[in-house]
Amino acid sequence: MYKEHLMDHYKHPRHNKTLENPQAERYEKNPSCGDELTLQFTISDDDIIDVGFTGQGCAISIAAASMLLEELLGKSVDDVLAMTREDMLELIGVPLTTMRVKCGLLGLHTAKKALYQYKGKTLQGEW
Amino acid sequence: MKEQFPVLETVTYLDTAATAQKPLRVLQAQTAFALTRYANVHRGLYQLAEAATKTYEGTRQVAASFLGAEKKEIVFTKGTTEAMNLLAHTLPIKKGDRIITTVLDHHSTFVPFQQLAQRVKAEFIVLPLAKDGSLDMKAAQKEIKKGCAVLATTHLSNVTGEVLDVKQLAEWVHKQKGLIVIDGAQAAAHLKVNVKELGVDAYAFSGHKVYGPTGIGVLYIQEKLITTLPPYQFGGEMIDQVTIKKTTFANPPARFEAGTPPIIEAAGLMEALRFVAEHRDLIAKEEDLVEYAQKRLKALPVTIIGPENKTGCISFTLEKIHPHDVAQFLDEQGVAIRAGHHCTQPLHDSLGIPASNRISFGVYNDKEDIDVCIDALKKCVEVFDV
Repeated sequence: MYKEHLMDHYKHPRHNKTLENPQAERYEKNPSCGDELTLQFTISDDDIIDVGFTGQGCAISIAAASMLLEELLGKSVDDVLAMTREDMLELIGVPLTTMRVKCGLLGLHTAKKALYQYKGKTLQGEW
Repeated sequence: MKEQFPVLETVTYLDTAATAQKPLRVLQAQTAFALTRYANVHRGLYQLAEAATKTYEGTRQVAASFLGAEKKEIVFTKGTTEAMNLLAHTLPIKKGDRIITTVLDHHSTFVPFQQLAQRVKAEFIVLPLAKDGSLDMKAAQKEIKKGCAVLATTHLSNVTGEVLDVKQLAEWVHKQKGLIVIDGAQAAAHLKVNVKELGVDAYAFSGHKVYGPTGIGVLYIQEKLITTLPPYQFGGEMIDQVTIKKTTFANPPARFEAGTPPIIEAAGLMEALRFVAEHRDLIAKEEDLVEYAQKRLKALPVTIIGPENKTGCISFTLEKIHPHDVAQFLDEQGVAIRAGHHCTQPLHDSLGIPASNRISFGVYNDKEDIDVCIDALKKCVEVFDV
């Protein structure tokens, strides 16, 4: 599971920063293992023009958040909201064991919550 | 020893605190019973039923001897969790009583008694750890002195590996006319337990942690107490007489064994308890393994949880690497260790960590297993390079 690509994102997470004036922001925690993420988005005309995340957790959750933000930069809010868990797992690129799927999905879950909130809606259902 | 456990050819198993692997002889005893002597117990008049009942009740005798108790004081349960629920639902605890547990306790003890306190509006007191990570015995004495209707705690911590001074706790509790009930899930596999010497009112353990089957456990309740407790579940087997208007109940232990019990599992448990009794020398050697493992672990960037003196298990965190990553990485190296809160969230909260890693030992482990585990941990530190 700990392939080079994943470890690179874990050791050198992209967009691991705090934004000045984000239009969307969200903190989420995975209670079963204590992973914590805060995601921020600068949005202009419903396009994501800057992204940032801070947090702590296992290699899977950090690397997945890093990969996700790299992917989201430049996308529209609606594109992100249309992303599925399968999209996210594909992005991670290595098969996750059942116990670790939640770690891999924490980033997308947080991003969707942030962007639904930005649109004045609530995310229905679980991840 | 390892030839009794074929699965150990494929994995370095260091998670016996979660569940022990099963020796061939236990599985064979279970199969032989199921194939030749199986029927429902306490019911049929035919010879097969007689034979099954003999085995089932024979296990009760073996379990009683295992704990230094009398047969009539032994109840079969599904496991330690059910035993603790049984006690939390039948002990005479009322509004305003003081229920005491410790921050070390497994959720299987902690939660039933926390819920009992909430149900009857009793006080719920959780004893803290001392600075060295052992149970704070000064706080224990102080809190028990203020009054104690029941103290429910563990004999051997499934995280820190501390053996609690149960005998001392029992003395303090009994001075307050309280009851002491003990979770022996870990202890039964590592310590020679004598409930009379410990002076406890109830003591529970699970079959699967003493190299026996899942789905069966043993609950000792001292004779004076067991005869006063009301039923926990209703159904067949636990009754005396049933009429349309009322039901009277059987005497203990049948009173607490509603429905068809785990009969085949009882046959396996008998063999498992004999297996443990016959291997006390190997179990004693686990102490050396714990010491050796602790010494080798200390050469790595680890924080070890709890006091220095440990039995059965060592929990730790590896600096800057999440416990889940450690366990997953080790799994990829063929080493099975635990990551998580080990069903002790209050303990992990008190330590300020969400999770830890744990290695735990059984009769089948040797120094080579520790070496393999330490090598894998070293590799983990290298790969994560933090």
